[in-house]
Formats: sequence, structure tokens, C-alpha cells
Amino acid sequence: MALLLDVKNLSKIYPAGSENVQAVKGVNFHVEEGQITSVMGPSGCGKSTLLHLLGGMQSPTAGEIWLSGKALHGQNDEALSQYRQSTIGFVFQFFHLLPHLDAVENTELPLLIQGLSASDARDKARDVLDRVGLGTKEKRRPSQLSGGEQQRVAIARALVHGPKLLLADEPTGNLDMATGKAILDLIRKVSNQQNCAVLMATHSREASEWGDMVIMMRDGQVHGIYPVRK
Amino acid sequence: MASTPSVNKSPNFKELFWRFTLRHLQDEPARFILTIAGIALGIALMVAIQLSNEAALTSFHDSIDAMAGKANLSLSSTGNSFPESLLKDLADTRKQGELLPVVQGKMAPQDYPKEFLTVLGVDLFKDKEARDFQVLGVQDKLLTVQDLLRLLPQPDGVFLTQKYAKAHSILVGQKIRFIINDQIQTLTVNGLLGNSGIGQAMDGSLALMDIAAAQKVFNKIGKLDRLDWIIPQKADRETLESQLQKLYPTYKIERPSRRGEQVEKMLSAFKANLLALSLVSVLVGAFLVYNSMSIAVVRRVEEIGILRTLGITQKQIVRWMLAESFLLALVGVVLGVLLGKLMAYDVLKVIGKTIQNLYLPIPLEQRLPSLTHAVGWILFGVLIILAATIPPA
Repeated sequence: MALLLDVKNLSKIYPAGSENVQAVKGVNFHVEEGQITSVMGPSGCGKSTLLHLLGGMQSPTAGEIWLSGKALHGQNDEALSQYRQSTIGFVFQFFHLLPHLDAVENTELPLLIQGLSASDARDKARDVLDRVGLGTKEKRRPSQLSGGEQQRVAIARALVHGPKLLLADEPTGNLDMATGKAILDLIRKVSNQQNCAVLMATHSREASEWGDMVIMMRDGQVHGIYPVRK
Repeated sequence: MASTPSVNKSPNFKELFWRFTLRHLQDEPARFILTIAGIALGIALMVAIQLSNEAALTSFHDSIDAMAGKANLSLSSTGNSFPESLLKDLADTRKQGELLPVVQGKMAPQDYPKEFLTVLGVDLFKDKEARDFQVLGVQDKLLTVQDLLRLLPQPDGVFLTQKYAKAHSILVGQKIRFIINDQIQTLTVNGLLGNSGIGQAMDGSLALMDIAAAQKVFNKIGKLDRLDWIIPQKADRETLESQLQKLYPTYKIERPSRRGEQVEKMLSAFKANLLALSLVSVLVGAFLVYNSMSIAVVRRVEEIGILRTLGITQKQIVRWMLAESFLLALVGVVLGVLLGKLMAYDVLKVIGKTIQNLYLPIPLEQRLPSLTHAVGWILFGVLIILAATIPPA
């Protein structure tokens, strides 16, 4: 498999009053195309910060991020926004769907942001909603859906524009065990269909072993990278 | 060197804007209504004050101009009458142009004691050369010189404006009791002044009398209030003006056309006060927009965050908020302009009354100028309101 993501000596320091907090310290790893990788560690170990850096939501203090041979570090807001628009999909623990939009409207947002016409966006969004099993509930607002269903809409939204990398921050953290497992299986199935790599932050050992690789993090540093034995 | 990630098309901004703004409009109608009402009130007050200011000044100017007519020099004794003999002393000035004596006074109908009429006592034949007026008789028939000659010997004859007569259902030939110098005197309406020239001055609250009759009813026999000249040559006028200033240093010698400028100067502070007040109202409108957009941004922090993760840039968020406030401003301004035009009639009454009480006892015509007189200020209001959106956005 070809190299998709290459992270070199990545660091992030937050100023906090007179002291600085180093959330990510000299992290190195890489992810191949279509690979599913879990970032495993306790709360506050820097998993979410790492995902925000990889998603271009924050800029690193030091280090390099290369995606398909293109540099993300040192880019301006415009370039990073376009990177998120075309290459990245986000899934969050609390779903973060827009409450005043229904399922299909939430799903088609990335396509409208990409500049697609309303009708083309609607067709593609419906197709992806079908694939996550919510074709019959496209007109429901988030408040009319269960937690698992809301996360399915979030997955559909994250994958509708065909990203190369899906960043999932504790995607099962707000779901019961059975629903969580179903969501992980869905992520695997849909990402496999699109050859989309997944980087999932989790503090659950069971969830972390669902992927192909596990990156262990503690105190902002990588403490080990190992393949998952199937 | 690192290459930049590939760039796609720009967002479907129109679709996103309508989707988000209209949904928020449905979800939070009170916030939108309050903001629009704030803008509308601010703009309305500004428009009303601007139009009323303009209307008041135009009306005063028109009255002064109509009453002065073609006269380009005048002599008066500040607030007092002066002996008629002065007219004889200055008879030689007729070589340079027309010399027209004027007696002026105030009276009010007994039935409407608060409605004062300004009375001009003039030489009805000669004065037509200075002031523009038409005298109408029964059934609005234009009176001829012969008609006027027949009417002149009547010592109690008065000519009212058509506008005033119509408003008070007064007919030609009718006898009316007037309060003049705290006494009741009965005058006969010999004719009406048509709706042109002097007949339009002072919103119709003007009456014309023959000078001899005016001297009698105002107890000014042997006295005059003003001398008006029409001097065609500029050099002659300037010479006469300087001669009069030397000969009669205690008298007021002025060009009637300058009275308008003097009025404007006198009212400038008053106008500035009103303008400041209207600006305060626009600033209140702008503050409401600022507040509303700040609330919108706080309430939409999560929504903006989600859109940012999906690839919207900061600039696009600012554009979106500006477009939303522009829409609010547009609706608010249109409503404000319409409301302002309605309010202007009432504001004009208040402004007119204040000006009459404090500055000039001249009735005001209740006619508003077109909205084009307020366009500059409306644009200014829109810009202030849009500027108020930028900090929260």
C-alpha cells in the first residue's frame, strides 16, 4: 500500500498563563492508504490535539505533516480549509450534527461547501445515507434520531465527499457497546469501499483493537506502534 | 518547497446562505424582528427629521421670498412703525426704481383666536409690480382693475387667501369679526388671493389690505412699517443702500433676499441639534445590530465550528454574517424609510411649532420634500449598520 500520511517530530504547545502546556511532543508515525489506525491512550494524553493538527484545525508548534506528498504544516487558513474540504472527513464523539437541518441536509453540507449544485449534492447525499442504512430517515432532524443513527449520519457526512483520511475522535464514546460495535463495523465497511484511511482516537482497548494498527500515546508522546493481531 | 493542497471550486454560497439564514429566521423570529424594528426605527427617525428640517426651511424660505416679491431693498425701523413723512423725503429715489410703502400687522378671527393672520397693507395697484398675486371675486372670477377701483374706497375691505378661505368656509362678501390690537373689528372679505405667489405664502395665513385701510384698522394712521424698493440696476441699488445707511443709521436697511440666509443661519444650531438626535437614533439601531450579530455568533459557535471542520474559511464565515446583516439592514431600511415618511408629517408639526415659538412666527406649509433629500443620510445609516456587524463577525 502507498504512503498516505507522514508525521515527523510533531509538537504542539499551548500557552497557559505563565507556563506552557506541551500537548503533543515530537510525535512520529505514518499511515498507509486505506489503513485503519487507532490512537489509544488515557484522557488528556494528546489524542484529540493530534487529530486537530492532522485535520488542519490547529497549526503545529513544530514538526511536519505530509499527506500524499503535500505539506500541511505552515499553510494558511485558506489552504487548510480547502484541504479539509477535499481530503478530510471528521467524526466526533457527540456527533456534532446541525440541529436545524435534517439528515440529508446535514449529509450534503460538505458537497455544497465544495461548490456542487443543490441537486447533485442531494443525489450523492441520498446515496451515502442509503449505504449507512438511513435512506428511509433522510427527512428526520437529529433530535428525531437515536444516538447510533445520529452517528451514522455523521459518518455519511464525513465520507460523502470521498476523503482520503477519516479522523474519528472517540466515535463510540457516547454509544452503548452494541451500537458502538455496529458503528465501528460501519466505518470499516464504508471506508473500505472508498479506500479511505481511518485514524481513530479512543481510550478503549477493545475499540483500539478493531483497526489494523494501534498507536499508543501517553503524556503527548507516542509510546509504541504495533499491528493488531486478528 | 512544500506544495499547497489542491483547490476545488468555491462553496455554493447562495444555497448555504439561504439554508442557514432562513432556518435561523424560522427558529429565532423574535431576534430578527427586534433587530429589524431597531434599524427601522433608527432610520425612520433620521428620515423624518431630515425631511421635516428640509420642509420647514423650504417653507420659511418660500414665505419670505413670496412676501418680498421682486423688492431688492427695504427699510424698516426695528420692530416699530415710522412716520409716513419718510416716504415723501425719499420720493426722489423713485428715479432709480419703484418705491412701495408697506404697513404690516397681525389679526385673528374671533372664532379662531389662536390662528393669526399676517396682514400686508399695500398699494394694491402698484404693489403688483413687486409681489405676485391674483385677486379673485365671487366664483373665483378674476377681478379687473375696475373691480378693484370700486372696492378700494371701502375702509374695512380685506383679501384672504383661497387656501385659508376654503379651510374656514369663508365666502367673498362675508363679514368676519377679527381681533385686532385687543379689539374686535369687523372686516369684509372683498376677494380672495389665488393659489400662486403671495397666495401660497405662510401656508395661506396671510391677508392683503389696501394701505389706507390697513393704517386705519391697525391704528397706524400717518405711519408705515416698511419701505420696499425695486431697483433694476445693481449699481443704483448699491448706491442707494449706502446712502440710506448713512442717512438713517438707526433704521434697518437690508436686501430681502438675505432674509432667507439669515433665517438659515438662525436655525442652523436648531438643525444641528435635530441632526445629532437623529444620528443617536441610527447609532441605537447600529448597536442593536451589533448586539444581535454578537448573540448570533455566540449562539452559532458550534455551528461555525462544524462548518470550519467541513472546510469553510474564516473569510467565508465573515461574508456570511455580513450578508445576513445586509439583508436585515435592507429590510429595516426600507421599512424605516416608509415609516419615516409617515412620521415626518407629525415631526414637521412639532418642529414647525418649535421654530414658530422660538425663532420665527411664520406658519408652516405641511408639504414634505421628496425622499431624494434624505438619500445621503439613508446610505450613511446603512453603512453604520453594516459596520456594526464587522466586529462580531
